[in-house]
Amino acid sequence: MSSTASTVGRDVEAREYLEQHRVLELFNNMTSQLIYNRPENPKKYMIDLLEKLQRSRATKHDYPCLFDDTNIQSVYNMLDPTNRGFITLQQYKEAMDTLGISPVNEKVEGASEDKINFDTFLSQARSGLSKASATFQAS
Amino acid sequence: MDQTKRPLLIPPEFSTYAEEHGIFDMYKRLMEQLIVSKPSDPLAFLVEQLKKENDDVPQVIILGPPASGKKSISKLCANKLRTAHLTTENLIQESETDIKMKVMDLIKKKETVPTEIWVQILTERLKLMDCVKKGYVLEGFPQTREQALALQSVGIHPKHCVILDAPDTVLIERAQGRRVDPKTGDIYHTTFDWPPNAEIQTRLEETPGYTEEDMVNKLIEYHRHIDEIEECYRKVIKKVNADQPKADVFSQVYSYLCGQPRSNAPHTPRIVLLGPTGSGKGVQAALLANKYNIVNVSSGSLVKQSIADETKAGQAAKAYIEKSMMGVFGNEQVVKLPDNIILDIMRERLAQLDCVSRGWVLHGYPRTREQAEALAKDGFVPNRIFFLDVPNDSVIERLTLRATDPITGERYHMLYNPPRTQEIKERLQKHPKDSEDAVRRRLAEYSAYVEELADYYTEGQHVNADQDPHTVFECIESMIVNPLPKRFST
Repeated sequence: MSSTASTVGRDVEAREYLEQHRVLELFNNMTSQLIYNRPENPKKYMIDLLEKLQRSRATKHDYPCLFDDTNIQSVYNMLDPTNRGFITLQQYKEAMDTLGISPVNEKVEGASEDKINFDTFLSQARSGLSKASATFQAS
Repeated sequence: MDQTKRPLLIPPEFSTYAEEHGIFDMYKRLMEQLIVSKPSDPLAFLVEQLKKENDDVPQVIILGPPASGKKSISKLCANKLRTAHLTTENLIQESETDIKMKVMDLIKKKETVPTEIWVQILTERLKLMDCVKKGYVLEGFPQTREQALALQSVGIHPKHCVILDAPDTVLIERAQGRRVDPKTGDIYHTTFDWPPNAEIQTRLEETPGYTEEDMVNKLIEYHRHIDEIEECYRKVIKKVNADQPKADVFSQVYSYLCGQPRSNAPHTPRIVLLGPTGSGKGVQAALLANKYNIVNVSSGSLVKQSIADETKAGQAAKAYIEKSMMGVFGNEQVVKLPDNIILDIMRERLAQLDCVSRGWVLHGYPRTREQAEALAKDGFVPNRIFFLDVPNDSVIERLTLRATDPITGERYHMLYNPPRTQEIKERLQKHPKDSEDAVRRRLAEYSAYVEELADYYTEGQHVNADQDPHTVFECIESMIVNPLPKRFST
């Protein structure tokens, strides 16, 4: 019957649309911002956030994100309290997971020796976070 | 263990925040719009939707067979709710010229207007500012299932749908007496709704198309389609009996429109039960706490508990009580502790994790407006407030006939739960706080403050507590589960 076919078709269409434009991730990020900041006027805050995202899409950098460089630094320091200068691959993977970055790039410098130093960690985290925050269709 | 991995903790303040601003429902609406329209730039689209500020506007469809009173009721509703009033006629009139030409053509040729054109007209009309900002009352459309589905597919979905129902014979009879005022478009009736003004009376004309034969045909057509349309709007529909005076029909429709659809948003109950002594607050609180697994917070027991536990606030309370040299009787304290001591004790309890995560039901507090304001300031905003109303005589009857058996500890009531043997009856003793004077004094205290509490708690709902506990409980339950009724500013 054509109507069931069309409803199934529309269901698939809708899902594809959501995935392509990364809508669910967008909502997730917005929710985390709301939970963290709890602004007086949530609508206005969401409008601001969306406009910021639009601008960063145009300028291709500075995506709105809850974590900044100091947070990445703290995570690294937590994993390397004795200051050896590196963390293991397993720790690196877990940390990226906690920050919400996926998929994790395993082929980083130092992976073969199981020693990831801070600079690699920082650059990977930064690029991973921008990808996670750039919740719009890849142009 | 890897230090960066810890279970996700969402701060409990977020749940109050989310509830207050209706975040869950807002998300749901945005997602709906996104999926239906599938814009190529979701970011800009979302910004536009958020800027619209149209979360709460009424979106009503009124349907019914001919002569059921759709036009009159829709006009009344649109006036009262201050929304735009859309009918099939004015939709055509106000649509764009080329569409208008097409439709007028089809009507002249007595052909049915195809669904796509209707959908186009409606989408255009609903985009206009007055519908967006103030909402709409749509009368007599959709008329077929096809039209209803077409509307749904473009995302036009009413929040309330009312069907005015009446037996066919009544309708045919009504149609005979139908008269229209050509100047205002108001509908009157020779028997039921005759205009008071003589000038209007002279102007009235009969409308064509309402002879008995026409009515029968129209009714057949209507019955053919209405069941399917009902199926489409199953979740938001309400049938109102149109075979009543206009005012009754309107009041039923209006009270339905005030009710909001049930939302799926997660909800932690924060309930306050207010009422005079003997109204059953303690009983209801215990029932609620038991059934819904929320924490029963009774101000009287809390104070006693904190004194026994010797917490800081408890010690302050104890010192105060000893100073005033009055005993603490039962649930209600004869001595009034100063507000800040009580607030400390309440705050301590309500801030604990089990209250925050499971929800709480509070009774016996607040007693005055200042207490209520202080509670809200501390961040403990209740989301359901109930005033348990019971007349003073019932209270006196309930309380003065209470007695306890000092040997077994069992409680009896002379009317509702009398002791079984004469022997028990003789040794029963009454609690001094249940004497008529004490009760009257407490009732007077309550009535002194209840008005300002009712003023402050505008969302409070009244429950008739002059019934048996289980009836009252069911009533309270339904009020908790259903969303708070909207109040339209008139």
